[in-house]
Amino acid sequence: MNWKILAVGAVIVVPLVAVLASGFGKDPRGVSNALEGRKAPDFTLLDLDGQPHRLSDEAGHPVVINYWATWCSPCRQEHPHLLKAAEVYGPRGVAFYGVLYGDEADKARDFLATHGQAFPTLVDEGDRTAIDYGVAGVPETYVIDANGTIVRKFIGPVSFGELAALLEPML
Amino acid sequence: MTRFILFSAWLAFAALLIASPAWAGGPLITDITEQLKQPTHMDEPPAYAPPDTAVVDQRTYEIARKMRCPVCQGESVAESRSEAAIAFRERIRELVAAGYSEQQITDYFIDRYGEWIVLEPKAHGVSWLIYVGPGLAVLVGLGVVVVRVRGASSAPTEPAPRREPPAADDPYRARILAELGETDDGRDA
Amino acid sequence: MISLVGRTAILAALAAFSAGAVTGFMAAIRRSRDALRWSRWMAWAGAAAVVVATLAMEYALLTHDFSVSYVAEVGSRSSPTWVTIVSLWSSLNGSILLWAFILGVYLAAFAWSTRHAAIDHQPWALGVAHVVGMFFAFLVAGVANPFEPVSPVPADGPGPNPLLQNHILMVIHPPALYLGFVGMTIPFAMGATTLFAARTDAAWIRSLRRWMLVPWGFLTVGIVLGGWWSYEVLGWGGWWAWDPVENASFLPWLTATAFVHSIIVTERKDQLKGWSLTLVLATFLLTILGTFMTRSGVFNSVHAFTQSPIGPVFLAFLAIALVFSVLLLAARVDALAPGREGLGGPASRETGFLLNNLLFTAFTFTVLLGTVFPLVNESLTGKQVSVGEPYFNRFGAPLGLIIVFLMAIGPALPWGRSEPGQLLRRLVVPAAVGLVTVGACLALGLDGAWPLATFGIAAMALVETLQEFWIPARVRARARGESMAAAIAGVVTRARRRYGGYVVHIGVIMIVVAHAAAMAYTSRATLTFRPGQAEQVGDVTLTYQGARVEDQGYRLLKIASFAVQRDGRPAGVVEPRLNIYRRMGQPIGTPAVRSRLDEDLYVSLVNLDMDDQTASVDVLVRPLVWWLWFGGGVMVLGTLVALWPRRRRVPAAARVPAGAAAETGR
Repeated sequence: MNWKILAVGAVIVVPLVAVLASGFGKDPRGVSNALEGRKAPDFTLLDLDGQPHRLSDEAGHPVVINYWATWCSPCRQEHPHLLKAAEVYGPRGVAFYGVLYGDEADKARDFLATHGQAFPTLVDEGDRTAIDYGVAGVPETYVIDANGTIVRKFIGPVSFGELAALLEPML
Repeated sequence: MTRFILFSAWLAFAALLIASPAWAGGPLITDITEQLKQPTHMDEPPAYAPPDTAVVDQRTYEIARKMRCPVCQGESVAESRSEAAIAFRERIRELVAAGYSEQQITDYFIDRYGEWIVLEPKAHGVSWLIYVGPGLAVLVGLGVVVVRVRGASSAPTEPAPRREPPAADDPYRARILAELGETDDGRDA
Repeated sequence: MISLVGRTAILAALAAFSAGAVTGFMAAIRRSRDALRWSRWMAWAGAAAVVVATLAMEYALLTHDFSVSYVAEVGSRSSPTWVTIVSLWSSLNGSILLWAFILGVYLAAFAWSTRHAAIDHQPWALGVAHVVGMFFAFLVAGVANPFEPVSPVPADGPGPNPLLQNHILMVIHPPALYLGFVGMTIPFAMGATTLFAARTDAAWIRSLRRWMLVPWGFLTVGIVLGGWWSYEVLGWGGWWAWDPVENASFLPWLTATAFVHSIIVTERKDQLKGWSLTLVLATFLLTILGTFMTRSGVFNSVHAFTQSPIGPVFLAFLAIALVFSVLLLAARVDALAPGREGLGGPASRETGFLLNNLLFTAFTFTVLLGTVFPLVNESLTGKQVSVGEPYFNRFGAPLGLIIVFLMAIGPALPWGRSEPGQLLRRLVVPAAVGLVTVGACLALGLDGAWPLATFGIAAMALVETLQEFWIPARVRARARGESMAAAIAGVVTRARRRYGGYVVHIGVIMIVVAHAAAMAYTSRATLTFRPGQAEQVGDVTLTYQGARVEDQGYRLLKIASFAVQRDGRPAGVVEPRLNIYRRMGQPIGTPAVRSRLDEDLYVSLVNLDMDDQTASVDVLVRPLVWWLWFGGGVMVLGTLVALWPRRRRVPAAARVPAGAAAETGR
């Protein structure tokens, strides 16, 4: 037995396998949420009907911002959850916004006409706001508290339960 | 001779490493909340006057190449055709056209997305590993090579087992002649 | 029905490979020729079974039998026939089946070609290769089963990923890569055998080298075609991006390249045996690692939501293979007979090969480190980082350049004794040509330290390599009164491997020069055209002539048409387009590429607004791109020269036995 080779081999093999194995347990969606705990970047955007909306006008209420697109199937999946959340928490003072990401306003109008609409969807030219928020893909949902701080960023489809658990203590 | 070649090769390699810009990065963004107060979200003034279009194209490409497309598999923002990458490129172009420097723009994206958005980590913390590792590997390998070559040349040399080349006054010509009579495995044909 | 046929065939293959492994090892331990014969038959039976399974899958694809899970996943009635055929390797489970298929064919060929080899060697090698076959048959039968029956049967499927059906290169590139990857199994089995039996006789080592050179050639083809495909399809005008999938194919190529150099020292000087075998084992392990990297989901991007169950199984196999290799090497390497002859002096060919191996190993280590580092960082700090092109270029460029420099001096180094004066005399002409090249480039107005250094060193390497053809041929022509052409042919045929290697070097030099030039001297612009508008990029002027739409049934083409003028003269029309596949949301572009020997015009459509006809395009004028693909072709040519069999002068049975061959080796 050549112990030198054995030792060198062990030094290479054990960490390599350990590192590769460490990749498994991880949720590949767990991107670092650089903006959590920080002030939400302000924006002024037009909705699908041409009405302007400014985030800082919502100061004092919690805000939920959902980045979505018609071509994204998880967005479709989470849509009913967002509608329900808006129905329940909208009247209790939570503002909901959808922001269209990499998509056309016409397609969004069609989508909302068939799937239902409970809050304004904003058009983000050139995805500038999305980049300000660090949106890496859709859907992503930001929950902002009454002070304008981002408390949570959901990557991937969000459920009514997750939103409720976060919003309930804020009210 | 060999030692000279080895040495200069290694020196060149080391010089390249030292000259590399990875060392240059200072602390990452320190006070982020300060920056976010500004509605433009770029709190410093641009580093340059607005450059002309060709320069913008080139600089945009240089920056986009070093940034990872957030929705792709290992592609850079410059390469990817995805919506996200196109939006990134437009944003970078805007900022370049406004005169922001590469450092400012990169920091802006790192601030929003986290460090994974750039394709080369700054040399700090654990990341030192990937900057020191290759040099270390070359160094260790060179050590092994030197030991083997030393061992070989200091070993008692047996009389050359090689067939004597045909007589010739020029040793180089002799070698050619020897090789001509030889096939791949060094066997005589 | 097809599900049943395919599944039965795969189970049969699994049984055959298992039986082959058992009989192979039995034959090795008991030195039983009967068991060996069985093992060989099992290789052929297993190969036949995987061929049947693959044909069954192709049949199912072509007949649109959507009751088969894989067909339901990638098939589509609207796809053209060639797309349907290549769908076999467009998705995970099918590609594993292709892997098993190729492995079966290699195994059968190996069993056939070594049927006369010494009883010491063949059984171990067959046993090990069978075990690998077993693993892949097990994958196809289990976690990666493409033959799952689907119920209810869908009427139609989505078709393969549009990116993969966008270019004809998709027909050749993946199979070539697989032929390279899978082929490394055979050298692995042979290397393991050499260690088991602790015998390194000349014929066996020569055969090992050839079995390595074949997949090495395929890997080269696969990598070059992969670059070409990405250039022709992806629309960003590049060919290599250092993403994990590309690195996965590059890593085994690096170690295999190191091996084809170290084995020369092994064959000639009976040295570096343990090291050469280590490289063989490492190459196979890196192919498995690479496959794991591309298929486990661990290296996927942040928004890839699928994790395949194949990952953990593959990791387990990789871990077993790693442990097996390290143990085998540690246990047996000292049993190899020590070299009878020392290495050469400091400025000898041997030292050159050692340095070559050092550089290739360091390159491998760097690429591996950079590729897995994101995982390392995340498990140590919990933070995510990316390691990509800028990092790999930082280290790859100097390492690559030093390798080319070594290519310039290596062939001039004499075996054994070192005579620095002679070496320097030999290098005068190449070095002078290198310097003149740099001067000429400067005079032409080219700048940049990196590209100029590359051109200088590459010119030096090219001249040195050509000298290797020219000088012996001249001596021979004088001595025999032959013409130069005949003399060159004579010199090359006498030492095919060496000259094949030099031809490969010339191909590498072409690629290095083309890459450096294209990276450094590209004119690029992102432009938005209105109809009739003209813009200039580099020495090319584009005039936008308008847009049109074509409907091809399964996809819609949005085409923009540009008239090209070069230096004021009309030079045809380019039509980049966007393809909108019926079943996919985002459009996929097809860039228009106009290749010339000196430069490529590359026009890629980013967006085309059909309402007001405005077209946004990326335009690149890149020098020398064509030489990348041509250099790849030259590398293949060189590999073929090196592999071309020598006329058999000795009947197989009477081949020189182990020791004797080495004795006559000088």
